[in-house]
Amino acid sequence: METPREPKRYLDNPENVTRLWRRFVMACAVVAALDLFGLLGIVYHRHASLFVEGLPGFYWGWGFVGIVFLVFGAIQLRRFVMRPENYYERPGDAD
Amino acid sequence: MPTDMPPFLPFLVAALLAAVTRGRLRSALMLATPIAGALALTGIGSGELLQIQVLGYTLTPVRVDELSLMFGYLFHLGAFIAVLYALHTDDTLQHVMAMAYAGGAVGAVFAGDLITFFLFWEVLSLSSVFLIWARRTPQAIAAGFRYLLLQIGSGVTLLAGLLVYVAATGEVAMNHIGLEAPGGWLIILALGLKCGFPMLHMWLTDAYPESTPTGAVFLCMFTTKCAIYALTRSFAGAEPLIYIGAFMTFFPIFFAVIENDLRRVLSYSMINQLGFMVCGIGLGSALALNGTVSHAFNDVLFKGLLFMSMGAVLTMTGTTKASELGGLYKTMPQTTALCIVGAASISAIPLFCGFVSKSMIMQAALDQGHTIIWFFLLFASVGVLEHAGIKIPFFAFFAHDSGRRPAEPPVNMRAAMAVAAALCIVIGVFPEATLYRLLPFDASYHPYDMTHVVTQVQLLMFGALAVFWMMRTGRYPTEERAVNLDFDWIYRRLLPAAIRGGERVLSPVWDGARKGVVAQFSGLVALLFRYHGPGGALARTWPTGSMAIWVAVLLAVFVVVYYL
Repeated sequence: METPREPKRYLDNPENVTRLWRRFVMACAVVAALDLFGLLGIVYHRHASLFVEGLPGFYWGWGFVGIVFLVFGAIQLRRFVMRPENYYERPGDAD
Repeated sequence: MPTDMPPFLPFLVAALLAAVTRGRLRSALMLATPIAGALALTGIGSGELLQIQVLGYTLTPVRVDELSLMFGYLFHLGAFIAVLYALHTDDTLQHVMAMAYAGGAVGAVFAGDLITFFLFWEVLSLSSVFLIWARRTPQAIAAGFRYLLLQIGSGVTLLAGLLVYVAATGEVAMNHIGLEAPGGWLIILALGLKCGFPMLHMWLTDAYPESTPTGAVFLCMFTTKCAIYALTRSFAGAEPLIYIGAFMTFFPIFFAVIENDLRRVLSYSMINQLGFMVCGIGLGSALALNGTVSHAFNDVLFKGLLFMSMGAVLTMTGTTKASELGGLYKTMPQTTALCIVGAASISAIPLFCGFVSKSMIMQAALDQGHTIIWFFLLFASVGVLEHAGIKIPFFAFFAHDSGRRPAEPPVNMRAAMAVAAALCIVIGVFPEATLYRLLPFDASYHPYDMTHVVTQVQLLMFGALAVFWMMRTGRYPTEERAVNLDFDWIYRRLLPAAIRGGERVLSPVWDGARKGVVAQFSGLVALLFRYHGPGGALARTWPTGSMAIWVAVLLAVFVVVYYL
């Protein structure tokens, strides 16, 4: 007996994933461009408590660089702390 | 409903009733308990509602003010959600202990004196450990013992601290204590252990992922939030907490990125969120403290929701390892959607509840001139997006297709998640009409300011952009079937190894020493045996006459000596 085939889903098609990715990148570009409006005082007036915080691009730059730093930092951390899954389960272990 | 009923009483009674009832009756009882309790809270008075004299001290088992009331409502809400989530299980042990645990948490926040607080603090430890043991795997049993050891450690430290404090000040009321007070450091250490201070946090990441799917939901709601409550009440404005909190937001996110067990990722994420709260307590301004308590409130909802969604995955697939999951959205679309709401809330996306609370703490840090701390918190905010906002839903429900096709979890689990998700959105959209009305301190704050919304969206979208860019280009670390060492390594590996090593070194010495002593002793015994044993010279029977002679000789010697 043949098992019923699963319906093909939108995300199963890599082209659709690429399309979503491109749209997301474009949305990011639009959001980054909002800084210009704030700078010029159109649409909204941008206020900042710190000098750097008021610089255009500070927040999105911090978001991007922050994640890259975090992930690369974590990869380095793996070199020191990663152990096999059964590390604590060896015979004769105290727990 | 009598309004002077101690708020913890319904839960403790429900714990007893849950032990003797079964089926729908028990379900109804347990669901009714937090509802009835919360209704009773709406009519409760304020001030010291119950006082008793014990050994010359005035104990206040029930003291109600705005701070305790806010946590009281929170714990009733959390208990309701968690009970609903756990209804399908028929494990009496878990139900009884969960009700006792909730009762302990409610009792602790309404405790008006340190001794009552200590008693409920111990109830929390002793009841919660059963939610870990109830998983009944060897790993869970072992993790439960390690958990209990540290929780009891916290209790003993608290007891030591409060004995010093009470002896020195004569004061048992639980109010502001501060680090300068005698015993203050001991008390803050005890509280810090339960809210995951760095290097005291390992019980959390060790034990929570080993608990039952439903137990983890209770666990993530009560113990740490009780500690946050107590720190807020007794140590607001203690400066070291600013730095401890900032560090707590910082270090766990690196572990969360590389962790494979998604419930352990959530445990690291929890320390990160607690870090924001601890930092807010250290800042100590009304805005910061409001941020702390509202973030504690929201954390119960969104972290509860995330733990519930992973509990649902665990229940239906038997694992929460990222390396073994993926593609679950195909057959668990509702759980996926609810998990994403939790992920959006913890990431502080505008219109979700995390946005309206975390920003208060960050604004307070800026207002008080803690610029470097603010940069740390901003970095940690992006980190949350990475591990809790993207990693949790992505690796469980999307990513590479694991081929697993589990059904949606039982309807009560989905209902509980839906309640939490709805609250996350309602609080996020209408903070002023909901959460902010409960805030105990006097400070006005408006989260929906155009600059704030735009900058937050920029921060998060570019964080997400970086994650997806690294995933698409193969720079993102792959999910490895591995464990990562943390501070629990000290007592799981280092100490046992040290003891074994010590044994290896000392046992020859001991053996030698023992042999030497036994040889000497054997010689002594042989000697004694020679003279006193059967046939020994001193054990022989002597005639009475010889004794009389010897007495006469001794007498003669004595007389001679006397006259000399």
